[in-house]
Amino acid sequence: MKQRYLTAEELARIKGNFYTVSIDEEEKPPIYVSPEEFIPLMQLLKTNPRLLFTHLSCLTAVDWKDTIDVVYYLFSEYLGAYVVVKVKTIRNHPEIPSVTSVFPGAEFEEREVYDLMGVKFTGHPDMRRILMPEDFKGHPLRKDFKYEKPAPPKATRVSGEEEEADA
Amino acid sequence: MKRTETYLLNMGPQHPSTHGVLQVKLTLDGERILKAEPVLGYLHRGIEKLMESRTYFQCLPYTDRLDYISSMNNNFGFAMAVEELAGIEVPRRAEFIRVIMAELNRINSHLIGIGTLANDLGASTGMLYCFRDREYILDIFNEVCGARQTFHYIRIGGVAGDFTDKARELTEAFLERVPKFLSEYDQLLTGNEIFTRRIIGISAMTAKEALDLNMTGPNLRATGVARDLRKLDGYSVYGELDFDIPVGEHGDNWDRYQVKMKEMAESAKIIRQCLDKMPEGLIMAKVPKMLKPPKGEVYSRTEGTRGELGFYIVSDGTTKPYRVHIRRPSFVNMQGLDLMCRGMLIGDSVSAYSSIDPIMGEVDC
Repeated sequence: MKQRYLTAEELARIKGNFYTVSIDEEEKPPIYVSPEEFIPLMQLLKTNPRLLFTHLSCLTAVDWKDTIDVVYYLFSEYLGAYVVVKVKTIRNHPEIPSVTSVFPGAEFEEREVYDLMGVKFTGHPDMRRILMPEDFKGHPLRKDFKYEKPAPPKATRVSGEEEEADA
Repeated sequence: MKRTETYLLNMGPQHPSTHGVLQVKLTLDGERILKAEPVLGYLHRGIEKLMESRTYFQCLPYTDRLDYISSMNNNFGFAMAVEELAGIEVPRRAEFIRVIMAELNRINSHLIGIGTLANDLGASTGMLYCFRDREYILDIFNEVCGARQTFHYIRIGGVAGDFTDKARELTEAFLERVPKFLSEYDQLLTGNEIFTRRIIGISAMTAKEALDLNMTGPNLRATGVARDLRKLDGYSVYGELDFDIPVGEHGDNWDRYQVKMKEMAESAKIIRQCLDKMPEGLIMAKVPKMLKPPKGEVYSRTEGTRGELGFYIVSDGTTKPYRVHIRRPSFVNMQGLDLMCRGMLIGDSVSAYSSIDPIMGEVDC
């Protein structure tokens, strides 16, 4: 038994007062929302007694070369269904509000997305790198990331073994 | 005038009880912990990035190396995600074999969890007993796939080798041992005052706190929330099997320990049913050699040994995934460490690390 996704009709009802929400006609329709209306939407999804999407299953980001989409999979035990929320960000200055005010447990995952994708979450309590070293340059999960190998240290003869062999 | 100040203590990454390369920065007021900040990334290998340049079949061995204690469960999760993406039907026999392997691996992982908890609290015998019993599980794995670690046994579309008569014999013999060794641990640890006084009432958290921190798995169930994806989603053949979800009450180290102990008994129950119900038949579906799943994305989750293990895969219609994200339960559960350590003594932080049971290969990915 697979859990279902909210259908387009159900999503249309949620849409209500949100201007920037758009819904694709797909099998698993994701909600696209602008950064401005993102937090009120998440608040509604979590607290509305007819929805109760209280569990943040997955938080990640996908680099689509012109935009970076931040993806949230929310799960409601009450409805037995997922809803997918996506926020498009501009690739040069990706910045969206942090969801930690609604889901405090998103803290590490947002730091991970910041570290590996370079999306800044405004209002996050501790926006630092989490996996890479603090002085690391670039964001490795971006598609255009090129890793420059540091030059190998020059080989130096350590002991006099070979000289002894020569002699 | 008396003057006091807080100071910083680095636990790890070489500390023997931090389980691999976990570093925790403790802010201390005397012996009391004011704040515990985990420092991650020492084992970061960039598996998500590596997967983008491998075919789906080549990705599978990398999942073995995430949570290297429960490789079978990781294989299972990734294979299920790809099957959902590509629309592959798995033969029924293979589903039963998968569940047997996943549950054996769950027992294996909980044995290590309990063994290391005992070891960290000074009861080295507990660890030796757990590792002794773990050998029997590794023998079964060795029989079906020829490896004792990093199995790569559960493949996309089924399993790599059949569940032989020898394997069945070994599994039956192991199931007979389970109640014996569980009662042995009860004698050795559960009733041991030195052990219990180190864990009862230590690092307690409420259900609300655990849910807020997005925790899953035994750490959540110890607080009294009966959320188990095997029941909730009923994926694979779990929906047909009869088992209970053990829960705790106070969410302290004792409850986490007890939940793991009871889960081992439940896993044994599941394996028993699978052995009885397993039909004859194929163990591998027909999977194209060049697997090209249609464009789209999938999020598929299973109950790993440490909580919700999810694989998010985006396909662009080629043989390689466009993006893979792994929702690692250990990584998300690490957020609870600060709360669990706060107000405790330095010595108790050690039991908090053990009972939260992180595997650094999974935390750092």
